Amino acid sequence: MGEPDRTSHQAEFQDRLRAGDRHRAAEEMEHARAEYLQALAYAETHLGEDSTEVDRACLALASLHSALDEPAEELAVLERRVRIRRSKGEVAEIVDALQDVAQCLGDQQKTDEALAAYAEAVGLCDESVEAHSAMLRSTLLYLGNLLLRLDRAAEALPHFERGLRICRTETPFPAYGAARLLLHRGEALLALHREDEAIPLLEQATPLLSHRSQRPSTSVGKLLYYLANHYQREGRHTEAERAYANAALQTAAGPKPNFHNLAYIFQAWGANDLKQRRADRAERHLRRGLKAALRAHAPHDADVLSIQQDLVNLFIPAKRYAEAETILTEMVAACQHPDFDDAASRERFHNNLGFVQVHLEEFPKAELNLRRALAEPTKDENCYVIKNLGLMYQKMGYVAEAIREYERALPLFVKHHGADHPVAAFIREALAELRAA
Amino acid sequence: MTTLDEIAALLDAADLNYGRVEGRIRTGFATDIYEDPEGDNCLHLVIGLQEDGELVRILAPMAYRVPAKTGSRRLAAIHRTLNQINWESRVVQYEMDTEDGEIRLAIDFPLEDGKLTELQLTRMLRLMPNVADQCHLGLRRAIEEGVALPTEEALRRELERFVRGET
Repeated sequence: MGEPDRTSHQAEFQDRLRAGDRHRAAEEMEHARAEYLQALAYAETHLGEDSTEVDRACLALASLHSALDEPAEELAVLERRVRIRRSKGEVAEIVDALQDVAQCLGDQQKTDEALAAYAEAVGLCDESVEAHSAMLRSTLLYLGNLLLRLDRAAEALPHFERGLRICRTETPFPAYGAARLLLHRGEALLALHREDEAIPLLEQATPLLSHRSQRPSTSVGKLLYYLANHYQREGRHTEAERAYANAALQTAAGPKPNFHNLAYIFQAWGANDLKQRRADRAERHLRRGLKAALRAHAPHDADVLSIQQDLVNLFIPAKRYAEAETILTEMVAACQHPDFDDAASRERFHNNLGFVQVHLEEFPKAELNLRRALAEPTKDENCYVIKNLGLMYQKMGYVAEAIREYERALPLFVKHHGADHPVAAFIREALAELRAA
Repeated sequence: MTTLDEIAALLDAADLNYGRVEGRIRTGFATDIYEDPEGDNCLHLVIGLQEDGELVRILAPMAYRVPAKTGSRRLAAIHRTLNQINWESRVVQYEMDTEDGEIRLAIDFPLEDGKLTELQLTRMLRLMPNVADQCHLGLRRAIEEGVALPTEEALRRELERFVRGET
């Protein structure tokens, strides 16, 4: 084929590929598919089965298949790219295509095949050849991350360490590549319970990876969350707060916010606020955590209920019973779901709701909820519920009924929680007061 | 030349809430981590026209306030951080009034004889909370602790030292 012919065929191919891209951008997926397939057929016919253009059309199709959740088709075109590149023998190009195949296999849970593809890619690279360095260390990073996802942190660790060794030989120093290797090496060490070694790595890697020049990343957000939890445990609350804020930004600001992770971040951030005696901030963070949790889970999910419980624990000591009642009413409604099978929690939610309604002097509602709580037997023989029944009667002015319930509750508290339990002491005082009246 | 009524019409078209007060438009956007002085995750914006409608100015007034009697070391960290943020930013700039310590975000958009479009306006408005979020931690640390925001280059060098120093 003459050069002018080839150039005009390449131009025609480009037009078809661009038409596909335009449909893809407009989310007209079937039109995009048709254009990409035409571009592929055109390149095969006019530019050769193993041409760069066929390779490019395969990549566009792979991305489309991925978006349309067509795993077999995606894998087939990615494997074809490997074959095309093998025919040319350029190591970096083959490794690049093998990385895509391995990632696709990993996403499809074909982990043995994915690991084999990464191993092949690593095997093709020669550590002493400078041109292979970048490809080799990125392959080691992806391989390590796959092993981490498979809970094989001990096997992942040497790959990250080898990647970092390669970084040290490179000029200019690949700062972002090294930061990612450092971050995930830290993650592997955390998984292996080697926190003392992990924390300095996370502290070094996260400032650069979360710099505003970089796109927000959920994985950076997750490791900032671990770092923040570490600071909170150490009582370094200001550093914890900064790390939680950064974690939230990384997790929320990306193209696909991870609401599950975001809920955890805000909940832990709220706990850190409470340790700094900043209840107003804790409430704001818990409310944002709840909102995120409800975007990721059903209302009866344990993560949602846990944040709601934290809010209730904030409201009750502050005597904000009406706000506690609103949250507890939602929790009680959620635990009626047929999939909710935690009877002890159901008892606790009804009991807590009854308790706040006693304080709000909504006695009929309180009694109903306390009786419902009694229908769920617990290990401590529902002693809290019985105490709350006593409290309810006391507030209603029914002295005999109050004494009866308190007298039932007291031995149960002594039996299950000890004679010195603060609630046992409260009951004794209440009984003394009622008997004296 | 553009009028405030025309800007209001653009905000209506973009379905954005706003209010008009004393010849200006006030609006606000939710933020992820930036907190206003009341602790709410909201950036309050004011849109105004200057130079007979030839310049649109969008401000986030009182985004921060540097306390009076802030020491020189901390002030240096704040100025250095503001300078660094502005160096890294396009469109949005941070301004500090050294008289009262107000720090605000600002966009000046010269229209001259052109007309402001909905796309231009909404891009500028939505950029403000993004930038406020991105810069919040660095700026707050400078104001509260006197630690200047490191440059990206400094972070790279620090990381290289750490990695090369590891055995």
